Amino acid sequence: MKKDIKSGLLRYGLAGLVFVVVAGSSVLLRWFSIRINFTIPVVAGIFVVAWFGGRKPGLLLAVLMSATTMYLNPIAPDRSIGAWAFGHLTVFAVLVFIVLIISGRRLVESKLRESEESFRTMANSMSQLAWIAKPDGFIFWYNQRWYDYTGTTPEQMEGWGWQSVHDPEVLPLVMEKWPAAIDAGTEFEMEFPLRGADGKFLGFLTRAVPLKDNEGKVVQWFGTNTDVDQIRRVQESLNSSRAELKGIIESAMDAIISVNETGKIILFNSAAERMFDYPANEAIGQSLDRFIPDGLSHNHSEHIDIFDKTHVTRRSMGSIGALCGLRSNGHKFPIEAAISQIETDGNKVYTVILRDITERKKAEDRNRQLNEELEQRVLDRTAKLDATNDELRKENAARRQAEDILKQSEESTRLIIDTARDAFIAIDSQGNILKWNTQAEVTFGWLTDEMIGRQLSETIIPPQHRQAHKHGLQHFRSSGHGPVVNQRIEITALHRDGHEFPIELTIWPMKIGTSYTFNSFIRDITENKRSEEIIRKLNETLGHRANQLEAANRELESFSYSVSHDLRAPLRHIDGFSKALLEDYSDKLDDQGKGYLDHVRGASQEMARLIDDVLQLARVTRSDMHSDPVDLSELARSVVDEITQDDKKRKVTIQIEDALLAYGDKRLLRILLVNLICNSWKFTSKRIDAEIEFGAEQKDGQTVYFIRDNGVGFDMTYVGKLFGAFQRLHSVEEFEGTGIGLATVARVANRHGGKVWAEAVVDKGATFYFTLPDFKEEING
Amino acid sequence: MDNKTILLVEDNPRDEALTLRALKKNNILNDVTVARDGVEALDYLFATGAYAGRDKSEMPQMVLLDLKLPKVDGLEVLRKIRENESTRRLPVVVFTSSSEEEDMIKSYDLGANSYVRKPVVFDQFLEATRQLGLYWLVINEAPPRSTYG
Repeated sequence: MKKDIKSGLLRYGLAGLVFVVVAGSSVLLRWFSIRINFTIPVVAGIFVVAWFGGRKPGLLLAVLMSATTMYLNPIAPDRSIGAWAFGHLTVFAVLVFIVLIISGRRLVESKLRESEESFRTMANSMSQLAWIAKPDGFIFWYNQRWYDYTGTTPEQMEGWGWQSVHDPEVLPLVMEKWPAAIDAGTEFEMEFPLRGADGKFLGFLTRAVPLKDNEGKVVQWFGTNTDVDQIRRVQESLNSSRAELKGIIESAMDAIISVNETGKIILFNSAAERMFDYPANEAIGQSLDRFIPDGLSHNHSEHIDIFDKTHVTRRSMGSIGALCGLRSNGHKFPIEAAISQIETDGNKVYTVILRDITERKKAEDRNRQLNEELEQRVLDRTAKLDATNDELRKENAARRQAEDILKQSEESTRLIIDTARDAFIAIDSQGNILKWNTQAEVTFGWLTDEMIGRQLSETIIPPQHRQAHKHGLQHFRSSGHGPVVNQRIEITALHRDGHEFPIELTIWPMKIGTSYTFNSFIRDITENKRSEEIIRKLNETLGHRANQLEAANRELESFSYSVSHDLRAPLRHIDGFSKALLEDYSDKLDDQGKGYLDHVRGASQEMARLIDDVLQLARVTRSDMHSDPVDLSELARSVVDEITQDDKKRKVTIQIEDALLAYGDKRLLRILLVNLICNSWKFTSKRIDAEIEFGAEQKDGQTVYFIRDNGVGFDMTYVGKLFGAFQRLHSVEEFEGTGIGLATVARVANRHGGKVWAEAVVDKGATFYFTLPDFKEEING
Repeated sequence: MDNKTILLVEDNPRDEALTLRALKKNNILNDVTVARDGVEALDYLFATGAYAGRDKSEMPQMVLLDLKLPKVDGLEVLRKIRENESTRRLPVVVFTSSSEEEDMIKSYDLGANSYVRKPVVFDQFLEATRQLGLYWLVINEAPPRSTYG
């Protein structure tokens, strides 16, 4: 403003000065009665003021001058007013005309100079090469960049000197097109190489625009040369940024899904494919609701709304609350989600990071605390990020498109990495830390600002691993591959406070130009390891118990063996010698004596039976099970045959259902059937029309086998005691037996995973039911 | 010499007494030699030790072999009997109170001709010995004598 006032003062001051000089001297000379023709001074004065002062001062001067001449040449008495007025007006008009022409000319000149000035200023601050040429193509000005790049001097370059930095093979074509554009006065555009100060050629996209005057004649040429490689580099940077983003997304251990405003999925990474058991190419385009169980999709869209309204750009995991995901097989599972939002060109994109927390629900409380701190930091980062975004938007028009896209993808990357539940660290090929996300701060106890630029090995790698790390980097640099990349590794890391803890990590390399950066996701598995240790100890205990059981079984084995042999011998002797006594000394014994000896014999025989039954029960309990398909009908028939052989006198109606197939140990099942059928045989002994039936029925999808008889039955009040060892509901006088048979039956059924139970009515009969696991169950189980 | 001796290998004197009585009751009048453990049994068969002076060509008609014997047990005796050329074809009836399947399997594997469980009830014991006697001493054709060493 001051400048304007100053220049205004100068200009009007000039006008005033000229006026004073010319008009003053004219008046002065008049006094001395000298009449000089002041036309020339007046006109000259007008010229000067119009040129140097501009239009307005010029006009002012013209007015003043006219007024002065009018004053100095008043109307003569013999002249008409009209002629006088006309004369002066003509003078005034001429003066004004002169002013306008001169100042107009000047305006053009000054405008030209102004645009030249502004071009030069802009040209010198651009990163492109620029120049200004006369209408004939003679370049009279280059910007500083040109001289810096080409390493030349203005003297060398002036006019057409630029030809010396062109590729001689391309120059002829340039000399065809450029002069053609000059002649036609049209915009010129061409790509050609230019030699730099180092002697190397780089490709440049050259543009020249003509500045034309009102008549359409070219006044000047403004030209720029843009480093094509630079454009390419931006493109490459964009591509590698894209590749980096894709790499991160695909190797992440968490599911990452992005949806657009209408809720349709636009991104679905590998971890999401695994989590939902759904391929990405089918997921894309579908609504996110597909993966939310029905009851909760309302819940879910509510979250999106709140999220939208609060404009909070990020919500950390856990604070959204327990959500459920829906796998493709219809199975629901609890998930944790973090949701973020970015906006580009008015379109919103929501990104969700999911983790299946079926295992992890226990650690929630501990993490909720940390998450609150995280949220605060995340909010701070959002604000910082927003500020950075605004600044970036002020760049020049040509680059804004590419850089917008670049920035958007970088932001996505940063958001995803920041909200990831795993620590994310990136290092260069020398081992210096390039990136360090929020979770890394939590996991290792170092803040991001403290870590960027530092050596990874000096901070979080425990001393014993540092050599290996350095060697690994070296090896990778020279060979291009390494044993630890692109796989999950378990190793230990060092916390800031000095303690070592186990971690799980994936590392993947990224090539940028000729050098590598290494990215990794890291997870603290201290908890996992603890659980693993607990499980290992439990397994060990289990192993010990199993061994003890084995040993006990073996002892039992040898015990049974000796029992079967050694216990029987004395029994045999008792019975034998009693019989011998009965036979050889019958004349010396009275009836009572014989009776006593019968008791002795009976007792020893009973003992023998007990031993047999107990042995059988023990054998059933400990023997190995060999499961095969078994025809129970056939088995039952053979048992019945045996029994009828031993007891030919009785007539019993036997009914056995055909083709009853089961899956189990044939030997044990035989023992089961023998016991049950023998029981039925025994307890129907008092009936003339004894009936025994063996069949099967379906109950609740299970096959239930039964053996029914019309014998003496039992009182249902005591049904609970039925299957206990040595339990009897009848006296030995009524029916002989040891009371172990049913315990053995129960044991066999249990070993097959089945059950036994019984129903009876006194004197009407009894039915014994048992189940064995279905064949299909065995296969699936 | 048509001796038809029975070699009874039995350690328990009571079992021995009962078996002898049962044989008598069944009118089996063959001579019965009793060996009280595995060593004695082998000594007898191979005319060694206590039986050093015995005529080896005289082999028993059959052997009633108990399994649970002191010193050398029944299965070992059986193995030795089958390994030796002179006794290889000797009819051996394993006569034991053991009802273990394992014992039965091992006995047959080692070449026993028969496996009979001693019944606890004496009547059945009697019947068993009668049938054994009838079969092995009367019905069964013994291997020819000339094959004995």
